[in-house]
Amino acid sequence: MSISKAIDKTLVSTPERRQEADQDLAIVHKVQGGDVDAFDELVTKYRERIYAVVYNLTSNREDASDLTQDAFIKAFQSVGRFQGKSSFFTWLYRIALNTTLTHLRKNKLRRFFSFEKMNDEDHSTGFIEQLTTDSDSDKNTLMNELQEKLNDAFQKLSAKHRTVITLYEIDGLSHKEIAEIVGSSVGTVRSRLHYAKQFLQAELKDYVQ
Amino acid sequence: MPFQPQLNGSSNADQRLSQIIKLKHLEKPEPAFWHAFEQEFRNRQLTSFVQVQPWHIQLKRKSSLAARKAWRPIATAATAALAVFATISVRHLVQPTADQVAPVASAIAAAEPDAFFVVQAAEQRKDTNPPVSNKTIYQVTELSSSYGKESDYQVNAMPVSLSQGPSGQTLGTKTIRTQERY
Repeated sequence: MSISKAIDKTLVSTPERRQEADQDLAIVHKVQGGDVDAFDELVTKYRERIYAVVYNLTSNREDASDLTQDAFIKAFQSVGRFQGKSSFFTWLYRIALNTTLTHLRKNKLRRFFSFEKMNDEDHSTGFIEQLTTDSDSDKNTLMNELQEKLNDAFQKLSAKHRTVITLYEIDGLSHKEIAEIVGSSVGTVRSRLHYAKQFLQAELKDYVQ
Repeated sequence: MPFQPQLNGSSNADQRLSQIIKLKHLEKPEPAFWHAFEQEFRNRQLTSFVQVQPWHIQLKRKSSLAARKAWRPIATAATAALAVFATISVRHLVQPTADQVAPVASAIAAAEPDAFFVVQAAEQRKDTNPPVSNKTIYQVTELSSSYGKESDYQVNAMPVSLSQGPSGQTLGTKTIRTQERY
């Protein structure tokens, strides 16, 4: 197998993604055919993921809520023009990203952070247990401290670096999917990811090393 | 042996960082948030059905759409127009011929401040037409460099009368050069 084919194999959409894209396209066709309520299926399916991406870019839960709504409304208003050249998921992410980046550009000087609380139910990860063992702090204190440091570090990244690290590490997208969404090459995505990771490692060195 | 792409060995630091970042999954809203989200979205969806955008916003949207589609042919036409304009302009800047210079020189001479000269000939010359009288003040009416010879020029002048001031100098004029031969 050639090198390029081997690399492509790791980057192309998985069968699950392709199946997901086909299902979404079927729903979009229903909406385009007049079944407006069908759009709710897509909203319910993607709202948490879109919210998470927007929230991690803005670090403000109120803005994230508004911007997520904006993104879905824009998608709803434009769904008639969706031709299926990309997957609906990529298209929707692109709308959400552009809406958020526009908001960030307009409100550069008026940024207020408003963080979600960490969900108490899922605290018992091995990593947190280990961190708690390593330090003298209790779990909750450590979690709060880590959340604050992590969000501080995230906000120091530029929007484009924050975008790729969010889509890759938090949303679990592949380099190719991220490249499609942000409109860059895979190489650019890798380069930005590398820089963002180096930066965050430096900012969080007390927890990483 | 089939090629197996080597993954960049994630260092411990990379792994720890990934785990830390994934903690952000824990930052999520309560279930009640999504009930409110759904209601809000429904309201906005219904509003978007009935809302008519103001005409100037519709026009702006359509214009920007048309501009995005039309920029290529417009850019091509603009480039062609610039090229034509540049070609025409260059032609006008080509060095003029000798025939074109003379009237220009005359025009320049005519625009200069009035020039006078005084003939102080050792002896009166009668071979000119009309005869040149000694110590007569002449006003230059035309100076042309196209007389035909390299260093010669043709002067057309007419005799004038100028008043003299108490200092003996003719008012408003000064001697700039004395030419022995003319």
